[in-house]
Amino acid sequence: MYEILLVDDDPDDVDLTLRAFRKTDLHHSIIVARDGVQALDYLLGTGEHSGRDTSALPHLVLLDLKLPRLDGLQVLERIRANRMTKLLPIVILTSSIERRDLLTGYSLGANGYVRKPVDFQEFAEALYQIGAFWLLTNQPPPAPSPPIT
Amino acid sequence: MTRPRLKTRDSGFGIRPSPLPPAQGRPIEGRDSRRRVRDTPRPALTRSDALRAALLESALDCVITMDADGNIADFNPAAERTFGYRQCDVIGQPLCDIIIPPDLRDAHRAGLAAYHRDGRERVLNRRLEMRGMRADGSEFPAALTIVATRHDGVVFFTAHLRDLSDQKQAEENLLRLNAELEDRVRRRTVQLQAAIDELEAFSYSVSHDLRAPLRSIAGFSQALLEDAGTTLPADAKEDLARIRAATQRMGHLIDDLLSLAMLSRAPLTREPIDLSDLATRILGELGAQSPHRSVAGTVAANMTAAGDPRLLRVVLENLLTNAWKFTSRREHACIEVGYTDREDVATVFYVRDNGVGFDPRYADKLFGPFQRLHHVRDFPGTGIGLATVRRIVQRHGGRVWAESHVGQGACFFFTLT
Repeated sequence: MYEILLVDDDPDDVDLTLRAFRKTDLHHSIIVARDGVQALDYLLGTGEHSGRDTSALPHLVLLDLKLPRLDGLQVLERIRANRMTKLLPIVILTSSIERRDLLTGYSLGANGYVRKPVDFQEFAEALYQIGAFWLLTNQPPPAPSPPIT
Repeated sequence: MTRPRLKTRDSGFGIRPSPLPPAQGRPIEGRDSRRRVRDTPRPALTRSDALRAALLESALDCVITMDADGNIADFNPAAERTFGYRQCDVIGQPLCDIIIPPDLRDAHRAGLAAYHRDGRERVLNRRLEMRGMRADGSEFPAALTIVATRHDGVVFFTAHLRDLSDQKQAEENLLRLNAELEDRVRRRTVQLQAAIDELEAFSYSVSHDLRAPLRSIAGFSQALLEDAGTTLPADAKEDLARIRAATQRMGHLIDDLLSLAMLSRAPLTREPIDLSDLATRILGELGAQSPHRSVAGTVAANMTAAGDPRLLRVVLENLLTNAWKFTSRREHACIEVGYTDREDVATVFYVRDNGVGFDPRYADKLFGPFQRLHHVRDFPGTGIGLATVRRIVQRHGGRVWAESHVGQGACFFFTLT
């Protein structure tokens, strides 16, 4: 079972994303974080997720950019700055094709950048391709080694 | 009875320090013009003296002569006008007390004394700028030169002086205007930058926020079709299909609007471009996209321009795609890319087709954003292409226009300088 962390605040987009993934044959479960703080708390076992076993990271993070509280680029920056999460595969999934978002996203170490298509069939197809590549085709990074004590 | 202003002496030097009969003073204002016409000089006045007198009388600048003791020996009409004294009232008076501002008087006296003591001088024979004082005590900036003339062992100092008030005022005005202008430019730049920032924020918002609900509409009408499709009547399905088509179209509109906004902001670089090669390649791409079409494309050879390669590709792409689109109903479609080169005007490039053309009455509407002269069901498009072309051409300093008649094809012209 592959675990995907979906970081998106738009409930419609979340529903459509879940719907699109349901139609795929990927064995997956999707965790939804509604803003940047929730996403980081989930990944790092802090805040509302304190005490969560964080040894197993999600296989993929789908990250929207425009989020309440911490925005997507800030989340990305913090994930990359943390030893435990810095290699986590992250695909930015957003409406924006602003040059500065692309530039900052890649500069901060995003593994991919996909613009959400308006048409649902195109959207579903894009999600399927992302999932198939990152969950099935790609070799994931090795799990972070425990800190030396 | 007129009399020459300057009495002559046998020495031939036309100036004597004193005495001038005081009763001969004339009013400064309302001088009778007839007095300017000189009578025949008295026999004693040589020709040279007469000329000198005329020169002093007519000079626009003040000419003031001071004798060795520092007293005023002559004071021409310009000096009268400038300083507000009558000649008769100042002749023989110490120059220092009459026309030099109080704070400069000590320096003046010291300079004169030094000259008499050992011939030292620091003010003769060069242009000086200092202040003068009028009869009413007001001061004004002046430029002057002073020469010393020695004759028969007697020295005279002659100053040629010009009131710089107007000039200084003009300079100050100029400086002030410049400062105001710079200030205005600064303020406008701030306003402009604010407008640009606002526009960027706007397009960012358009890109994010307008597409999201559109995706919901498209997504959930598709979901409805999938979930309830079997129970829906045929025309309800048809309605859902329309919703989907409309969202796609609006998605394209938003994208086109965004790219138009981006084009306006993108930096422009100029380099030599082979437009013949570019046009040929674009026609090749269009042919590959619709292999069923038979289009005769002609591209003039050696067509070059200096422009932004990316932006000029957008121009030709738009014009050629239009030509391609609007000739789709022609059995023998022709598209021609060429230029007219004349020495006296900028090179005019053109893209001509034998398509459906347009009504020339609406030619000026063609280049406005989202303006369309054809129905979408006839020819698809968002109406942003020619607006984009115009924006790019204008950014290159050129212009674009079109000629056509319905059913007789269209020709789009543009210049790049």
